[in-house]
Amino acid sequence: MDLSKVNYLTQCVNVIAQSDLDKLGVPNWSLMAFFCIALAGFGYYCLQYGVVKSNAMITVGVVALLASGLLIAVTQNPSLELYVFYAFAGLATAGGVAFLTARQPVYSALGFATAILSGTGVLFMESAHFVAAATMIVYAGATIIIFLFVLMFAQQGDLTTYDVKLNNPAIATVIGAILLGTIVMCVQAVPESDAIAGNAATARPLSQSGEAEPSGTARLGRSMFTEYLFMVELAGTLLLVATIGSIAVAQRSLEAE
Amino acid sequence: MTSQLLIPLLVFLPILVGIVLCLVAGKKSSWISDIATSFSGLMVIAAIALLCAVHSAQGNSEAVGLIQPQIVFGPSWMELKLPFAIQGHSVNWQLQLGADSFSAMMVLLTSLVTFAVLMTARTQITERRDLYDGMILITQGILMGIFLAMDLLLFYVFFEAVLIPIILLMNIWGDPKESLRASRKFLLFTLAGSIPMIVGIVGIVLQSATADRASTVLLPQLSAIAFESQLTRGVTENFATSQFLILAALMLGFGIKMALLPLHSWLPTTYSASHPNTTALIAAVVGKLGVYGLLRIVLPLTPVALSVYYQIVVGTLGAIAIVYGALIALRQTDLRRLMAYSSLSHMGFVTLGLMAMNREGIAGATIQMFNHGLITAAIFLMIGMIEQRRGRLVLGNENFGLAAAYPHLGFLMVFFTLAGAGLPGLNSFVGEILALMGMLRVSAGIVGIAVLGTVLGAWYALRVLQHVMFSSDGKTNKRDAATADIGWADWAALAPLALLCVVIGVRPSTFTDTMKVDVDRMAVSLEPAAKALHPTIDTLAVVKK
Amino acid sequence: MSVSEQMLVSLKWMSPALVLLFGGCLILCSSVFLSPLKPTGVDNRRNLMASISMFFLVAAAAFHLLVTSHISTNTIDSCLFRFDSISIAAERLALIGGVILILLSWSLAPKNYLPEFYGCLLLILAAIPIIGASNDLIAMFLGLELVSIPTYIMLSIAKGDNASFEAALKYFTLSGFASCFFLLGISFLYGLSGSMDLGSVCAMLGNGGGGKLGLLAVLLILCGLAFRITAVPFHFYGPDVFEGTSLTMAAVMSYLPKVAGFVAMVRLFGASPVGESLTPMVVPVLLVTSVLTMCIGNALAVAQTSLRRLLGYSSIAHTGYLLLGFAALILSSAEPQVLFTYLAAYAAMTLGVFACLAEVDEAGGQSIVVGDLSGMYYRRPAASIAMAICLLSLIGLPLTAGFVAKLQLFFAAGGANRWDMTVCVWVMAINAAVAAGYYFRLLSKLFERGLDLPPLRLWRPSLFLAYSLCAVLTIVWFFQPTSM
Repeated sequence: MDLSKVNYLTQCVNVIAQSDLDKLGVPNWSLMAFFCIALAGFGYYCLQYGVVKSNAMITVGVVALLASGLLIAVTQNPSLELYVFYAFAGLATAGGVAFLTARQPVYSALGFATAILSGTGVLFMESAHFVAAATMIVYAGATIIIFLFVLMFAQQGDLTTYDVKLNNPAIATVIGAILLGTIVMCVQAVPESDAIAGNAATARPLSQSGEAEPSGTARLGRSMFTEYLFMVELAGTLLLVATIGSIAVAQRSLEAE
Repeated sequence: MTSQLLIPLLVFLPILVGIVLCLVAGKKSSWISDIATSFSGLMVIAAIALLCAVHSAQGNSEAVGLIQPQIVFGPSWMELKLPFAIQGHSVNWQLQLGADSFSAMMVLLTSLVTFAVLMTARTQITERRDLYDGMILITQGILMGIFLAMDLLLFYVFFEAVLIPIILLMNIWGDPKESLRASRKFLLFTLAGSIPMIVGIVGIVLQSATADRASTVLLPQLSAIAFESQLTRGVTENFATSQFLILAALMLGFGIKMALLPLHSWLPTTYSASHPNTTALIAAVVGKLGVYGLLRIVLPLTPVALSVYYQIVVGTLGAIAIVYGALIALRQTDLRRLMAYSSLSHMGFVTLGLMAMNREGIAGATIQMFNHGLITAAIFLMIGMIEQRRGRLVLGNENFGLAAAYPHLGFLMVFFTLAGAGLPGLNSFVGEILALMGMLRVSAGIVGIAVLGTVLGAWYALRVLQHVMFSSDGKTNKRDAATADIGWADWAALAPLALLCVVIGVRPSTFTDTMKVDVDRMAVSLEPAAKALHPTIDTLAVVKK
Repeated sequence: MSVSEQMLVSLKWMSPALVLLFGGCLILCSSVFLSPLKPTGVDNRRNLMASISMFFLVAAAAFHLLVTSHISTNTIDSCLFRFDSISIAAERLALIGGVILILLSWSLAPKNYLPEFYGCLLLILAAIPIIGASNDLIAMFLGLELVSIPTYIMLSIAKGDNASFEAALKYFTLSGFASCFFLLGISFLYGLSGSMDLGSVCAMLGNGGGGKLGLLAVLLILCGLAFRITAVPFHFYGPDVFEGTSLTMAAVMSYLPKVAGFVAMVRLFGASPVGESLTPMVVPVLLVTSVLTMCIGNALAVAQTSLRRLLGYSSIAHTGYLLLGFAALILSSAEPQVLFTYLAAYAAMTLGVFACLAEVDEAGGQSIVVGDLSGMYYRRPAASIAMAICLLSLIGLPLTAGFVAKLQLFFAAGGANRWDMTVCVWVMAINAAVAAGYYFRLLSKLFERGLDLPPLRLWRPSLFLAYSLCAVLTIVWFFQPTSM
C-alpha cells in the first residue's frame, strides 16, 4: 500500500467516527455496528479456541459480548465512535486475558499482539497516527515477532497442534473475507475531497512549516527534540541499561543452572 | 557571673572527665581512679557552692512564673533551630540550664552520693575500676544535667541519655546471670514510658505558641504561660480535659520512672541485679528522676489536669505503695530485694507529698527526696560491704550477728536503718511528717493508709537489724582474719551522709530555708487548682504546728 | 524563557545528575573493554570499579556544591525541571547514600558483574535528583523507571541462588504493577488538566478541577509510589527481598527506592498542596496507611528471628513514620525538609547497621539470624560500637540523629491540630517504644558475655569507613540538625 492510501484509511476511520455516514454510502449503520461487534465476538472465539475446551464457556462468552453490545446500543447515546472504541477495547482486554491464561506460549504471544494492535486502533481513533504506526511497527511488529521467534526456537519436544494443522480453517477464511470486504468497502466508499487529500503525510522540513502550528507528527517530533530532549536521552539510557542488564541477568541464570 | 559558670562545670565537666577516663582506663585499677575520686570531691564542693549561691541569689529574683531559677546559664549558642514553623513563628528555641533551690538540693545529693560511691568503690570494685569510675562520672554529669535543665528539650535529652551509662554499669559489673535480663527489663520499661512522654512535651510546646507569641521550650516561660492560662480560663473541667492527653503522656513516663505502683516491677529486679555500689547510685538518684520530673514539669505546667484527674488516684497509689512495699519487704529473704522494696515504700511518701499540692506537701516531698537519697545510698553501699565479707545474705532462720564482728559497720547500719524507718531526730521523720501533714488537707483516708505503712516500715527494718546485725548463732560472730572492718575510705564515704541525716533531723531549717521561696511560690500558684475542683476535700482544720 | 535558555539552565543545575548518568553509562559499557576476570585479579578489579564510581560520585558532589553555592533564593523553573529546596535536598540524599553504599559494596559486590553493578548503582543515584527536580509528569515517570530498571538488574545479578531469583522476580512483577498504577494516575491527571506540567496539574487539582477522577488519579499515584516505599498493603515483597538477596542489595533496597518514592511524593504534592477539595479525602487514606504500616512493621519485627527480615520490617516501620510526616506536609503543618531530615538520619542509621553486618559477613561470621550477632563486641569491637550507635539512633534515643528526626516528626504531626493527627502521634509514640524492644534485643546480643567464640580477623578499610562514617554522622547530626 502506498502512503497516501494509509493516510486515506485513517482519515476514513476519522470520518466514520465523526458520523458523516452519508459519505460512506452504507444504508444501515446498525448493520455496520453489528458487523463490528460480531467481528469482536468471532475474534474472541478464535482466540479462545484451544484454551477453553468447553463449548459452553465459549458460547457464554460470545453471548455475553453480544448482550453487552446490545446494552450499549440501548443505553448509551449510540455513536459509531463508541462502538468502535468498545470493540477495540474489548478485543484488547480479550487479548490480555488470553495472554495471561493461554497454556501455549505461542497463543500467549498472539494474545499479546492482539492487545497491542487493538490499542493501536484506539490510538488511530485519537488521531495519534505516528504513535499508532510506531507501536504497530516496533512493538507488535518487531518485539512480539522476536518473542514468537524465540518461543518457536525454544520449543521442546514434538510439534504442537498448531504446527500440524490449521485450526478451524473455515471460520478463519470467513473472517478474513469479511475483513477484506469491510476494508474494500470503506476504501471505495469515501469520496475524494479536500478534507482527506489535503494533508497528505509527506515529510517536510520544519522550517517550511513556518510560524503555523505544525501538525500532529511534526509537532511530536519538534517537542521530542526540544522540550523533552533530556527525557528522550534518558529513555535511551534506560534502553542501554536494560540491554546490558538483561545480558547479565541471562548469564547469571545460565550460571545458576 | 562566676556562679553562672558553676552550672556548666557541674554538668559538662564530669561528662568530659568521665569520657577521658573511660578511654584511658586500664585493666588494673591505678591512680586514675584516685583522680576520679578527688574530682568527685571537687564536685561536692562545687555543689555546696551552688547551693550557697542559690541561697544568696534568692533575694533579687522576680517571680515570673512558678519556676524561677536563681542562677541561669543560657548562652546564645545553646539554641535549636528547626526547619518548620509553629503558628507562623519559625522555630528557634533557646535552651537553658539553671538552678533553683530544688535543683541545687538534688545536685548536692548527686554529688554526695557519687563521692560516696567512688570512695567505697576503692574496696568494692575489683576489676576495671578505672572504667567504672569513668562511667560513674559520666552518669553523674548527665544526672546533673537533668537536675539543672531549665527547658524541656535538654531535660528530655538528659533524661533519656542517662539510660546508656546505667545499662553499661549494670551489665559489666552486675550479677552475670541476672544482669542482662534485668537491664533489658529496666530499659524497656523506662523507654515504654519515656518515648510516649515526648508526645506530652510536643503537646506542651505546641500549646505554648499563639498567634503573637512564639513557641518556647523554656520552663520558666512555660510555667508563666500555664499560670496565666489557669487564671484566664479558670480552673474548669474543660481546661483539664484539654490537657488530659498531655498529662497522660507525662505521667506515663514519670510514673514508670518513679515506680508508681502497677508499673514498678522493674525496680526490685534492677536493684538486685546490679552491683550494690551501682545500685546505690541508681536507687539514690536515678530513682528520684521520676518524682523530680513531677515536681519540675508536671506540677507547674499541668496543675489543673493533675488535680482533676490524677491527684487522688496517684496519691492513693503512693499510699498503697508505702504499705505494699513494706509488706513485701517483710517477706523477703534476699537482703538486696528487701531493701529495694523498702526503697519503693519510702518513695511513696514523696509521691504523697507531691500529690498534696500544697506547701507542706511539697516541702515534705522535696526534703524526703533528699533524705531518701542519702539513706538508700548509704544502705546499699553497706550491703555491698556486707556482701564483700559474707557473700549474698539470705535472711531466714540464719542469724549473722555481724555487729559483733564488725562494730563500725554495725553502728552505721543501725544508724541508717533507723533513719530510714523514720526515727524522730533523724531526717526521714521530717520529710514524712511534712508529707503526711500536707496530704491530710486533701484526704484523710490516704494518710491513714500511709501511716499504717510507717509502722510496717519500722517492723521490717528492725527485723533486718535483728537477723543481720545482732542475733548470732555462734558460727559467724568472729571476725575472719581475712576481712577487716570498714576502712577509712568507707568512713569518708558514709560519714557525710550520716552527718547530713543528723543535721536535717535536728535542724531541718538549714535546707528548708533555702527551699522556702520556691516552695511558697509553687504552693501559692497551685492552690487554686488544688482547691477549686475539690472544695469539700479540705475536711480538716489547719493542723496545729 | 526560551527553550534553549531553559536547556542551558537545566544543564547547569542537572550537572551532578548528568555526571552520574555519564559515569553510569561509562561503567556499564566498560564491561566490553575489560579483560576477563581472573581469580587473582578480583581485588584489583573491585578496587578499579569502585574507585571509578567513587570518582564520579565525588565529581557529582563537587558539581552539586558548586551549583548550590550560586544559589539564588528564587526557585528556578525550566520546562522540565524545577530547582528548589526539594531538588537540592534530593540530590544531597542521593549523594550521601551513594557514598555509603559504594563504600559498603566495595568488597561485597558480585564479582563477575562488577561493571553492571556499579553502573546500575550510579544510574539509580542519578535518577533521584532527576525525580527531585522534575516539574513534568513524564520526567518523574522516567526518573522512577530509571530507579526501577537498574534495581531489577542489580537484584538479579546479586546472588546466584533460588532465593535471590525469587526476590528479584517478586520485585520485578510487583514493580511493574506499581508503575502501571502510577502511569494510569498520571494519564488521568493529564486528561483532566491537558498538560504534563506539574505546576498546571497541581493548580488544576488545587482549584478543585479534578473531582472524582482527580481523586482517583491521586490515589493511583499514591498506590504506585506506596509500593516503592513499602507501605502497607504493598509491603509484602519487602522482607522477602531483604531475606533473599545479598547483603549489599538489601542495603540498597532499604534506602534508595524509599528515597525515590518519598522524593516523588513530596515533589508531586509537597511544593503545591493538593488543595482544599482533595485534602479531606486523601489525608485519611494517608493516615490509615501510616498507622497500619507502623503497626504491622513493628508488630511483625518483634517476633522475628531472621535478622534480615527484622531489618526489612523495621524499614517498613520507618516508612510508616515518614508517611505520617507526609500527611502533615499535605496539611501544611510541616515543610518538606522534615521528611528529608528523617531520610538523611535514616540513611545513616540503616546503612550503618548494614555496613556492620557486612563486616561480620566478610570476617567469616554470618548475618542470617539474630543469634549470629551474639557476643560480636568481643570479636569485632569497632563494628559493634558503630552498630550500637546506629541501633540507638533507630530507637530514637537522644544523642543521635534519630532522636532529632523523630522529634521533628512529632512536632510536625502534632502541629496540625487535628484529632486524627493526634491519635496518629500517639500511635507513633507507642510504636517507637515497641520498636525499642527489638532494637534493644539486637543491642544486647552484641554484648553478650560468656560465649566461647572464635575471633574474627579482618581488615576492610572500606567497610570500616562506611560504618564509622554512619556512626559519626549520626552523632554529629544530633548536635547540628540543620546540616542534615
